Amino acid sequence: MLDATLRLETPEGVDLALAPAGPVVRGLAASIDGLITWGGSILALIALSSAGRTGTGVSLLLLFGVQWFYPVLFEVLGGGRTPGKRAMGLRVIDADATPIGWNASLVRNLLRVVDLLPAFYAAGLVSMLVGSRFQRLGDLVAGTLVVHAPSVGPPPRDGPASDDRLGARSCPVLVRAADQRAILAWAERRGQLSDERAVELSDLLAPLTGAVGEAGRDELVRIANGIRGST
Amino acid sequence: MSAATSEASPGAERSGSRPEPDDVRRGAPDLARGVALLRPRSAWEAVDFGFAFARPLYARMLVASALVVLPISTLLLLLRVPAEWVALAAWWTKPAWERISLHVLSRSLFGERPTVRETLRALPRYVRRDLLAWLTIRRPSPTRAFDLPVTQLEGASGVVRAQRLELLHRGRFTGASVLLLVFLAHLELALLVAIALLAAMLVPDPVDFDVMGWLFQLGDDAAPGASVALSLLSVLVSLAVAPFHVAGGFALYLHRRVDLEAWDLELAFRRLAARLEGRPSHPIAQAGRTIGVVVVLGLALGLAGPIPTHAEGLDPATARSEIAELLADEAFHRIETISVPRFLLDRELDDEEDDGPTAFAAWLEAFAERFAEVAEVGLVAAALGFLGWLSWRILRSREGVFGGSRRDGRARRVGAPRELFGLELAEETLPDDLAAAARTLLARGERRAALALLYRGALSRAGSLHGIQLSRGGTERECVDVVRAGMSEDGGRYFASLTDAWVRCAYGQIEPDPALSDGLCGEWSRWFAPGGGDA
Repeated sequence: MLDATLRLETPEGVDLALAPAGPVVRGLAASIDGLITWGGSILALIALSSAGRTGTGVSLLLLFGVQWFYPVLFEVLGGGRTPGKRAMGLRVIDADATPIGWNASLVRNLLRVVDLLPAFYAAGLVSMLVGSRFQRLGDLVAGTLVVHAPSVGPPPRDGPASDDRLGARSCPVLVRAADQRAILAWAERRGQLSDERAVELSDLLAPLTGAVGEAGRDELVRIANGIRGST
Repeated sequence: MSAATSEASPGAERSGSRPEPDDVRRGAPDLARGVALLRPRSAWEAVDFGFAFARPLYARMLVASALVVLPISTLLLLLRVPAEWVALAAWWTKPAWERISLHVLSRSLFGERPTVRETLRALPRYVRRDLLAWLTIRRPSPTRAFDLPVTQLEGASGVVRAQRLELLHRGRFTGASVLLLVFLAHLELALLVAIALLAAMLVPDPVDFDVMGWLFQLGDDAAPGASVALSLLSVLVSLAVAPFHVAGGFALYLHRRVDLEAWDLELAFRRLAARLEGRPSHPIAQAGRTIGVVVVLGLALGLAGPIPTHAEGLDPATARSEIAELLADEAFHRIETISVPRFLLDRELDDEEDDGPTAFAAWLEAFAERFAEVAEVGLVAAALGFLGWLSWRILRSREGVFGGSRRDGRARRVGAPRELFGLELAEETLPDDLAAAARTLLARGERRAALALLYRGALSRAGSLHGIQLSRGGTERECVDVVRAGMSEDGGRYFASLTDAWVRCAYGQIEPDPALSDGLCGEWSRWFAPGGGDA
């Protein structure tokens, strides 16, 4: 079943699910970074242009430093996120899901020169679309991945407030953790669903709730409350 | 425009007779047949899901749409329609031929995977709906790919469609679908230029042919054939990019509906209900949840670049003179005579005069000079430090500078573990005459305690006596493997049987029979007492 996520198992037996990020969102992140670096560089160039040829020399050095090391510094010291990546909820990691180090970051950013060819990152874009994990050539060489890592927001929106008043009950039969999560998700996402659809879904679980229609829905809410452990 | 419709009309009657499978029409699709795991995702994750979903279908989407677009474009060119107009027509009719990709994608979502032939046969059925509106008032819509499924898959038009779109657009995916279009439009342009540049790069130097100039020179100066080539190229690029646009928009549409209708929960609930009723759940739903994981190892070599093999015994002074000597060599010089037109030279001289140093520049220059002095000292110090560090490394490890013994070195630094599986291993916690102590325990009938003592002792002495490096996180079985590798064969066998007895006792609560425990105790000193037996 296609899931577009990559599952890695750590030696400790923990399953990590990674969602490699594709060209569009990465392109937008790169645009933001480009605005920052070029904007900053141009401002510096203008400021230094009054200083004649020495100023030009210094600003060229500055340009060099910013263009090559801005991504490296942010990636290694900023948890794999340049400002652009942070804005788009992305993160660079090693392909084995460990944090990216200096070597990998330097390699992947130096190879931008190759990805750039022949113009506008065409090689990188094609490489991303062809490979199964959206890696540009620099990523392939450095063994890195860019993944979706949205910053952790507030907990998901709860269901209608009246849910709490229905009380809680324990699940009548033992169900697996994945199923418990599904029941919880149903209760939490009920605000987005139409009521008919919520009932339609709870009807599917009639074998569990022993009721259909609104009675079944309320019973499933109680079971969800029981799973969550609230009263 | 409507040529796209007439193109494949012959197959319409035949394909219409087959009962049509549920698409993602309104109402519940048969999710158990789905080949993709749909769950709530962020907008960009959804787009990337669409791209990943499109990848295996890309070839057939491309071929099917090319088989419609290219013949029509060629026909128009043969009819003497200006090439620019043909390219414009192909671009304008995107809402029509993009439906081909959407057809492939939507059918494939539920495991059908239509071939190119089937897709083209079905073309008249899905291309007609609201075509005129799509090619006129809706053509500028920035959310085309997001909205197209409502027309093509739900069959909604008029008020129904408007209401439906109002609902769908309320979600968090609309902005992403606009940005998707903007990005892909730029991508098309970029690819066009990139391909032209690539061609220009590939033209060998002696051939005096400016590809870029030829291709992009428009208007009256345009070379014959150039506009045809450029138009054809832009049509091809559009064809190549369109499947991704459709797939991204389709994925956004799907995930909006997952938000609205909780398809993932429906699937989970159906499975749970089936299990509760003792039915086997749908086989497809069960199958293929495993995804092959390929781990590309990171670049292991890292920075251990060229190793200066002669770096010992080289002090900076001699190094500097050597460098100067080397640089003075003829190989480092190239003498070239460059003739520059007089007026250019003059202009440059003028420029320099104009460019008189301002106060800031003077300050900056002074600062730069001072900085250079300081930096020089710093660099020399750093070089000296590096040489010192290098020679220290060389003196310390005879095996080499970076290579070889890195792993061992790290292991030595870590030292022997003081504890394994909750057993204390430090030498001072063990009795002096361990075998005797174990024998006393055995005599008292405490076989478990005796075994524990023997096993602890063996682990501890394996390190201190035989120099075997046990890893901190190892299991009992791994310890056996390591010890076997580091001891004689009999010793290894003894340790294996001791481990086996201990594991049975500790985890299985099976106490060894007296003969075995006595044997293990008797033989222990032979292998693990200092100075006992052949190690």
